[in-house]
Amino acid sequence: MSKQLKFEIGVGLLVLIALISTVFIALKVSNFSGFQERSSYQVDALFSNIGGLTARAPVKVSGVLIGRVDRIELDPVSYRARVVMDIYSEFDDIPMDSSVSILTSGLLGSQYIGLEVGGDDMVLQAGDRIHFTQSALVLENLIGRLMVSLTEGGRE
Amino acid sequence: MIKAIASLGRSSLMLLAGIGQMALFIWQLLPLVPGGIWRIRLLIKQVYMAGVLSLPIIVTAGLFVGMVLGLQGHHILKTFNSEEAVGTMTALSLIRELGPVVAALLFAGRAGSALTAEVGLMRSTEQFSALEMMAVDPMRYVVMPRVLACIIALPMLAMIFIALGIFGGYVVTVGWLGVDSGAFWSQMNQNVDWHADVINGFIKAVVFAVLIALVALYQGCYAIPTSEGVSRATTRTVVHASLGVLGLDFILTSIMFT
Amino acid sequence: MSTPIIEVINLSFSRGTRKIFHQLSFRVYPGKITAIMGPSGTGKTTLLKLMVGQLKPDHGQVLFYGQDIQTLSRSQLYRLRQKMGMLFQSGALLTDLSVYENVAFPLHEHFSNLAPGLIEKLVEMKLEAVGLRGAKQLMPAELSGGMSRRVALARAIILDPEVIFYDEPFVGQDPITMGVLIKLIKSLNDQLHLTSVLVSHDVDEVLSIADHACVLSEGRIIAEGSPAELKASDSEYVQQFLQGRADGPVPFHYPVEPWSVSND
Repeated sequence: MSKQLKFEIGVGLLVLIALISTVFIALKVSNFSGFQERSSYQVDALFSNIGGLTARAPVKVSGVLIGRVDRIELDPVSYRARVVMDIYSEFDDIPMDSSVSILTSGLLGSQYIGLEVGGDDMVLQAGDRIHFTQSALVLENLIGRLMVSLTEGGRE
Repeated sequence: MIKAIASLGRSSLMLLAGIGQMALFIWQLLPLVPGGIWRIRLLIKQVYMAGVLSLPIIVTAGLFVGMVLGLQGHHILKTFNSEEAVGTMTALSLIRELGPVVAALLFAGRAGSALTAEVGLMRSTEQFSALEMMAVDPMRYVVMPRVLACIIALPMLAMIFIALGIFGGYVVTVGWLGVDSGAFWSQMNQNVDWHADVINGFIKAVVFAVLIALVALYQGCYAIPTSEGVSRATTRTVVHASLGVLGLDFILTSIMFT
Repeated sequence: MSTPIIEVINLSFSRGTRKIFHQLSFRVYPGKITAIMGPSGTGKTTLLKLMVGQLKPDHGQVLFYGQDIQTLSRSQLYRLRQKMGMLFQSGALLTDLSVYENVAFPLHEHFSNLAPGLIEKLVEMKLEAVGLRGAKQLMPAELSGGMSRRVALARAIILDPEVIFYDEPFVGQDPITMGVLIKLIKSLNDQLHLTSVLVSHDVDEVLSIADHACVLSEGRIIAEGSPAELKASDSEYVQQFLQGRADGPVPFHYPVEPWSVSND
């Protein structure tokens, strides 16, 4: 039965290599974090322009990841963009008066939400809204304002 | 003119008959699935034949595809000053498309054609009749283990292909072109999603495996049992399975990634 | 005579528009070697397939122990087939199994609860009977045509069948192998009390062992009887077939318009 043994060893090796590959892809390549999502609570914020922000974009405080964008939708009342964020449960003491802004990693990198911690005693609870927001910098607007100020500066 | 219409009619009728025969073939196989899983010895042998023997070509191709992706990606991204994104690009294109698709195409060429030839030859040498005379159902003994083995082997091969491709990309961009190793991995890690990308890529590989297995065994079972018929059926397996993989890939991508 | 073990009654079969058999009837008696002879292309192999239920006739019946095999369910048919053995023209050994595994295959499939030692004994016994016990570790690709037929014969008798069918066992064999096969068929039939159905066009070999022979032509049986009766037959066709004459009732020429050379 040495032939059968050869088959079994071969298939065993194949499965082993495939498992190693899958673990490598899970841990090193993708953001796999166990079979359970980390427990989190949701807060939202209204932005007048989200630029290129997408779902699953990171939410950071001082550059440290504290959560991710869950979904982005249009607020039917104010016609502004409503960004719903999952904040990981261990960060449960974020003051109410914190502000969020949409920032860009690098000049042309992907966009993320930066959270600036405030000083209020009240902390954010699930379902709360962050009121202080700063929208994404849109390059065209920026250049437009620059042009205006340059021309104005030249006139004076 | 009339001849052209007649040939169109004939070929569409033949296509219809082929689809019907294929459906019948699948219908015959379905009830055998539960029994097939328990014939471990047969299954292991076929996984060896289909999977382990395809490993060398998958390993080589994976490394090279990854290296080329790294090289090209680096050249393109350099013009935008974002070489760090090369890891993301390599990983995403491998996981979403190239891993499952190229592995499936190679698998169709290596294992699919071998299956058709083997089964066709078994039929032409009366082995199917002999099995029936020994009161053994050839669908159960020959066809089913091979179908299941394909479905087990190809997803594993696709994962190996992806992992080696990313490794190949890493070697070229980090080792050779001087991209920062930390940026390579962290960018990739941030932008590749386990559910949306990896699982979907894996599902693709499973679907392709089912398709290749069915095409290869159908062609083997219905080949004209002569050496010429079998060799033609082998060619047909590679052509039909490859086109099928590419077509299905488009459909799957449009469902998964929009 | 005793009751027949197989009865073929008014069997008709056609492929497409081509009629292969028309109202064919004959009987196979237990313990005898029944030969069906006919030139190539008369559908001898097809007849065997009809007899074991691999093909379905258009009309007529095949009775096994008085039971119509067409009315059997698949599992009943499979159970019946465990009482049959068949030796295929090419041997039809499973190419990926060794000689030993090939012969053991029906046992492994149907009696997997047998002790491994017992299976080994049985397989060696059957291999010994065909003289190939020494070749049990070889693969089918390493065997000569005659040897693979003998292995296939060992496999066909491993379940101790009651009937064994031989499909052209002598085709393309050298005189020695032919002699071995003739001896084997005869001795197996006598020692194991088998019933043998033999399909062949090798006249001398078949007539030397057959108890009863049928001559097939154009979808019907045109003569049957013991070898001596056939040799004494006054049918011109039978004589042409038995003696291998080039021309006769079966014309040398394929049907064609008369040859004429004209110069206009």
